[in-house]
Amino acid sequence: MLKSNGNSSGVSKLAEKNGISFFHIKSDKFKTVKIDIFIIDPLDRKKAAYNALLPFVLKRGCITYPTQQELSLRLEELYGAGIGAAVHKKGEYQLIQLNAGFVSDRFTVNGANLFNKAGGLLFEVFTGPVTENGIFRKDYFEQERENLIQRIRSRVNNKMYYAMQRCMEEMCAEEPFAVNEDGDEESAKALTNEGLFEHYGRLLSQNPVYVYVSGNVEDSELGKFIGKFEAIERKEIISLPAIQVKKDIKEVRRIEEPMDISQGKLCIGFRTQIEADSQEYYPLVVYNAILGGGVHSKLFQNVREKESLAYSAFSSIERFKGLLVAVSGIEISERERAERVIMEQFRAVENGDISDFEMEASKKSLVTGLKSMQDSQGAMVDFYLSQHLSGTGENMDSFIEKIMAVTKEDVIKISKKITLDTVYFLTSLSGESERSE
Amino acid sequence: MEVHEFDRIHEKIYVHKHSSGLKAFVIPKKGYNKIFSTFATNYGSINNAFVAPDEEKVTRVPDGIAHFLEHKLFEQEDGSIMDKFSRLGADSNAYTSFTQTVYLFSCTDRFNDNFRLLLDFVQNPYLTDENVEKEKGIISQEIKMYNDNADWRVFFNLLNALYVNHPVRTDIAGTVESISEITKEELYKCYNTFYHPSNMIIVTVGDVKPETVFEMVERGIKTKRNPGRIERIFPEEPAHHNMKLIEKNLAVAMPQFNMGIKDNSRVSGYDLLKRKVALEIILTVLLGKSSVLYNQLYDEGLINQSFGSDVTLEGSFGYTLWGGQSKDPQKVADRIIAAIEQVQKDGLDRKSFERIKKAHEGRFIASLNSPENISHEFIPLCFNGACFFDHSRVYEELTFDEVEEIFRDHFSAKPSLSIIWPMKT
Repeated sequence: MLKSNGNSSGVSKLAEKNGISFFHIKSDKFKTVKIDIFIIDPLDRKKAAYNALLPFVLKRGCITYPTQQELSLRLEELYGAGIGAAVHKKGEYQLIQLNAGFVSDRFTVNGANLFNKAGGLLFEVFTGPVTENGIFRKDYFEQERENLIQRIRSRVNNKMYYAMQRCMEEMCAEEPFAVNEDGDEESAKALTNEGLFEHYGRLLSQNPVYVYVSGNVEDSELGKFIGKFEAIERKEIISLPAIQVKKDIKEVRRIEEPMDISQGKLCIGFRTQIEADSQEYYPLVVYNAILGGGVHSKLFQNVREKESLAYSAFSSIERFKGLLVAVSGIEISERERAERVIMEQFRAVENGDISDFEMEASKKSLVTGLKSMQDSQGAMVDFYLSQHLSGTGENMDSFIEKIMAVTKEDVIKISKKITLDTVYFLTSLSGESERSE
Repeated sequence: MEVHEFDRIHEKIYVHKHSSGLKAFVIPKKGYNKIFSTFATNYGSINNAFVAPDEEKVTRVPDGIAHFLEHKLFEQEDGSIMDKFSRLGADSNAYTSFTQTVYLFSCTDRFNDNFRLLLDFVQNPYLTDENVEKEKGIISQEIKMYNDNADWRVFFNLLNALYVNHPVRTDIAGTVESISEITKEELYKCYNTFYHPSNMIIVTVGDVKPETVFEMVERGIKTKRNPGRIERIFPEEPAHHNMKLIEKNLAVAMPQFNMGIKDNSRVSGYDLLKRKVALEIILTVLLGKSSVLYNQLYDEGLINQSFGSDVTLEGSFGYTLWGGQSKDPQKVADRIIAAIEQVQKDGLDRKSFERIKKAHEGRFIASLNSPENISHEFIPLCFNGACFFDHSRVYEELTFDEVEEIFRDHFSAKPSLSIIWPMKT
């Protein structure tokens, strides 16, 4: 049994107006305050590169501090505050993120009211870009488009992450999910400044926005910050389409991609057939922990410890699209044996071969992970954003309760739904192991 | 039990000295769910030659042995230690750096059981010829993973360009060949030399009572006797760099570069921390996002957001480095060298120094949110005789003149450049 232990950091909804929702994750144990703004847009090949470019153009400067240098200088004056930009995807939603982080006023000289100053600056970066002739500054647009193209090309640099992304893209080749959060090179090259500015205007006026403030901030200060958003002209807010999760797999696909590398990455992709807001999601989380979520898991114990096939062997879930990928970095020549061992683990769970140790260790590891999230402002924001987007409205405590309530039978039951979709292998150019150097 | 209070940053450290020479630290974090605990030895990849206490002759061991030992300590006669931590709901892990091997766990429940397990397994190695052999397959895959990793390769190539002889130029995990030679006997030799409590510290960060932790340390640390000094042998290292430029091709989209300068000051304690902070500030003044140079290079498309810098100072080596992706790394390097030469003529900008010092202090305070980060920074400084929390004292005391002097001293040495080019098509 679990009870709220007093250290649980909850989230409270402060306001929702014109499709902009404000949340406060109140806690005084942190030395910083963070503000995160997310704009949500359906993932779409035509718009993805625009969304990926936008926050980086905005971050170049604002009306008061129009250059990166002036903005950086100002942030240094604010005790090393930071303004960040990022783009993510959760299922078939693309998330544009702008955020600010800065130390709490108790660490500043004479209580500098950084929330008001840094929060105001973030809001200005969000809504007050530097323009010329009614569009973004030309050099900012062009430089950041070039950076975006380089970012897209650099996906190959992190081989493990690249292999997982590629596996999921192949699985969803005919679905919106195949689009990368950064878009693709061709669309990035075709972006125009006019198009970006128009797109920005549309996002500001009609897309759902989530704003999270984490840390200790006075209600009156929060009220003032929320008030700033009234200045944004909002129209009718678009509703986000449902994400197609269930899919019949008629034939397992096999993809091999050669690259000039010495270690192969084997990714085995499954459809969970379980939607993000389903009650079956919680057994799925436990299922993944048993299969490949940590050192107690079947993949780690068998692929690594027993067979010495790999250093990395794990699995992870894409909650919003209902995907599960098992991954390992292996000797090229061991591909068949690795695939066999991984599939044996998958079938073992399906056949109910789950020890009490695996069940208990998995749940404990998940609970430790969830409770530990409450020690990180960034992890809490991500957790709550996922709950808000999936519409489940769970908090940390209720999520933990649901994990704890999962039984072995629940796991076996949902395991029957999980279907093999694609086997992807990132291999060497020759397709053979190189001789040791 | 000693208590050190750091009012400026609202932190405290409790210290307990065990009769064996081991020091245990508790850094309380009120309201945190997670407790993060580490057991660290002052022994890393660079310690490949040494004279053990009570011995006279030098022992030389294969590259990668410290990291190999780290892997093997997780195996006990009655199974894997990771399983035992899992049963107790904790996450366990370990890492090996140039100068330390660190065993750790984090938990939100049953701290005492987990902590006893940590003390117990690090003090009880179980090595057999078979389990040593088995580990070679796993570690070979780890080495190969790093061989394909451009960030890692560009960094180690830079160290090769900077250092002529010092073992910091060798990969932490060694090579597939060097680890193939490792034997059970050599592992025990290293263990018996470097895993004596007098060469180790225990650091716990979280919402715990220091008394409880120290009581478990008293009972759990078996050795009482302090065996005396370990002599660590390092080859003679010249002041100059090894080479100016080192290049390699890997499967990357865009060239990556690391550039750096060897630091020849051999300082320790508070002076080491002060020099490290000063060099960090200098790098931000010269190359940070508010600098003229950064913005020129960025606007010309020569660097992007991946550009960053770092400072490492240890007892036997040290360096500053900076780098990222660039379509023309050589051009970036030339421009940076020219800018450094300009500052050597004109001197550093005092206003920038004051502003950036304040910004770095703010970022230091922000970094104290993370127990992992505190441990990670605390341990190497502790082995060098400095205290991580003394950062705030440095920010208070560090003067412009001191920073100018450190700038002139450090940047008088010649930089090296390491480039990873994309594969030729």
